[in-house]
Amino acid sequence: MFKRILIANRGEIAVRIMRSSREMGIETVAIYHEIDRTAQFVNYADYAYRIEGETPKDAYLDMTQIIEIAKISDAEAIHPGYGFLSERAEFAKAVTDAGLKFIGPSHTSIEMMGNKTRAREIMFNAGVPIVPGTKEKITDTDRAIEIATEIGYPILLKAAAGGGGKGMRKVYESSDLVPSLEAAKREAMKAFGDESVYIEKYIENPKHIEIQVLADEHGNYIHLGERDCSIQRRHQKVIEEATSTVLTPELREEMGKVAVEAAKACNYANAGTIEFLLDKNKNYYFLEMNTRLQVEHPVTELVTGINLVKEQIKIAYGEVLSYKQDDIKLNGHALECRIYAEDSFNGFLPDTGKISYYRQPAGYGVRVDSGVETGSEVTIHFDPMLAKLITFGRDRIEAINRMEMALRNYKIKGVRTIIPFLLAVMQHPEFRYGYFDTGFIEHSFDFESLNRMKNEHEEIVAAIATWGWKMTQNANLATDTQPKISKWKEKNLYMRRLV
Amino acid sequence: MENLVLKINNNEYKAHCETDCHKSLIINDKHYEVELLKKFSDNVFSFIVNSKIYQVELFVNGRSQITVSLNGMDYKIDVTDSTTYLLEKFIRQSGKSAGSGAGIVKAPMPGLVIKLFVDEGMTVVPGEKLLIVEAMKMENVLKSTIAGKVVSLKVQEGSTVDKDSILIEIEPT
Repeated sequence: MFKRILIANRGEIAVRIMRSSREMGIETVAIYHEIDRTAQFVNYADYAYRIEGETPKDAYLDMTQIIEIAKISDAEAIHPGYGFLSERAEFAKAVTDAGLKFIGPSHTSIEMMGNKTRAREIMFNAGVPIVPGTKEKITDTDRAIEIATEIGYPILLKAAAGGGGKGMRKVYESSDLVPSLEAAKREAMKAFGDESVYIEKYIENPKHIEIQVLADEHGNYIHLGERDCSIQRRHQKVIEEATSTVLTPELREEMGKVAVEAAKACNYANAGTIEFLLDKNKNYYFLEMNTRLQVEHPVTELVTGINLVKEQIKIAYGEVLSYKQDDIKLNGHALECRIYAEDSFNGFLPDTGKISYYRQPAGYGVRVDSGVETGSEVTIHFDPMLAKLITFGRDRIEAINRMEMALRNYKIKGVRTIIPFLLAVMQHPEFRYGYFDTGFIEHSFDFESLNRMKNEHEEIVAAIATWGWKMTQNANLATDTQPKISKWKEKNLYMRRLV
Repeated sequence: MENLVLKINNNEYKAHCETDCHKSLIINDKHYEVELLKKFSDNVFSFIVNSKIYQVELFVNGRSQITVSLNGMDYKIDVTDSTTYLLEKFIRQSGKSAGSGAGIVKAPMPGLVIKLFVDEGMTVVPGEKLLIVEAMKMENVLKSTIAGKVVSLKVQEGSTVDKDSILIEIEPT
């Protein structure tokens, strides 16, 4: 097995990868930009090297520097996590060319799936159902109008090179096409350095179902069932779960088989995810393939009992898959809530600041994958996701109730988080019964319920505020109301108890 | 003994201390016992209020403003003592002052101005796009909430802005 690996990432995912590496007896190398000097993940590693860049983000995207550090630090492999360099084919190639192992698929697989237009073509040829739309990159306005008219509104504009909801626009009417196209192109240019978009039929309020696959470098493929990631805002996932409430065992098996075929079509090895849209009539369409570890991978781990990061590392080392398809049994239910530093009361605007107090929940069936602690700075340089809260239950309702408990016990002060929103979703009847789709936040969720939640506590808040006001008008806030016992007296009391 | 009026989200709470002790309070005729249980850091405390535990972040800014954060929700509280409160109420009712502040557009978050739709002197209607502020690669369109004339532009395309900094001033018509 590898003796040492480098983690080309930061935050919660770096911590999570380091945990599994340590468990396998592998030493870990962290890279960090100055701004992350005191971040938790740096302290979690065995070795840490500083990287530089024009912006903090640039540093984590600097392939040359990272590969150089991997060599200096005697790391044998690089785990890219998610985001940053994880889906850059050129990085995977550069790592391999440097004589190191990339913990992920081959650069050719990444390249094949990285360009969405080409990915759709490959999937179409492999017999995987796809959403009607263009196979060509669009930048020209006239061509866009022509295609949109042909497919019929509503349509969706998507960055050809992207993901994560950036550069994505829904268009319901022809009059909105031109301004939306311009905005989508601008965002795509900013995020991916490529302004081309592609146009497809917009499937209204589908469910987002994705299948986890694992493949080794010896041609063995398995799937680990589905994740339902339908609770999204701005096309970004907020709550995920395994299993989905709408998949029958037959449909699960069918989609699993299709996902395996999709992985085979791009000669895939390592962990990957095939994303599908599932419409009201349970037709499914290939959306995209994520050629990396997903943010929401823990829910699959909890229902299958398989540690995906460990499997990734074993596969990268050249081992044969230790599971056959028949070994995969789905057990119980798992939920994940992404803890974003965003203001749920103000359109999910990202919030920044110093975490003045942090206490995470724990207990049976509760898992926290976090990258922050008391004192951590939340800056505008990176994604506002602080942590992931995952709960497991023997059934869905137990997992939901456990999540509600865990969210209540999650205390983060100093930055706003979406915890109040997540709590309100856990209490929402449609969510509890499992009738929801990607339109949930937009159509079913009532933001007034947040205000009602807030108003409930106003009187208590008034009482605490009055207390605080009285204290400060008299003196500084009282800090210690505990009676002090002197060390001498403490010792005497202790002695007396002994005698 | 002092009486206070606390304003939270346009709701008013009358606070009254029963004794000299700040622990015993009456809020809108309801009795509250407030006791500090523990201090976690400069502004983070846990309190026992009527035997129930609450963990809060508490900031007192001078004599008139308090911020409390409870269960991830922020409460901005304006405090006045009851004499000042009555006086202000009287002034408000006697002379109707113009709704100042309504036409001031502030940055909701730190970011970059990537597009301006208006110029000084232009008239705008409610819902009209004013500018796009981008942060973390997401574009946020800021729209006018009032009808009026743009009297001052404080930013241009490419400006970086801090949270709450003034971007545009609109004179209501």
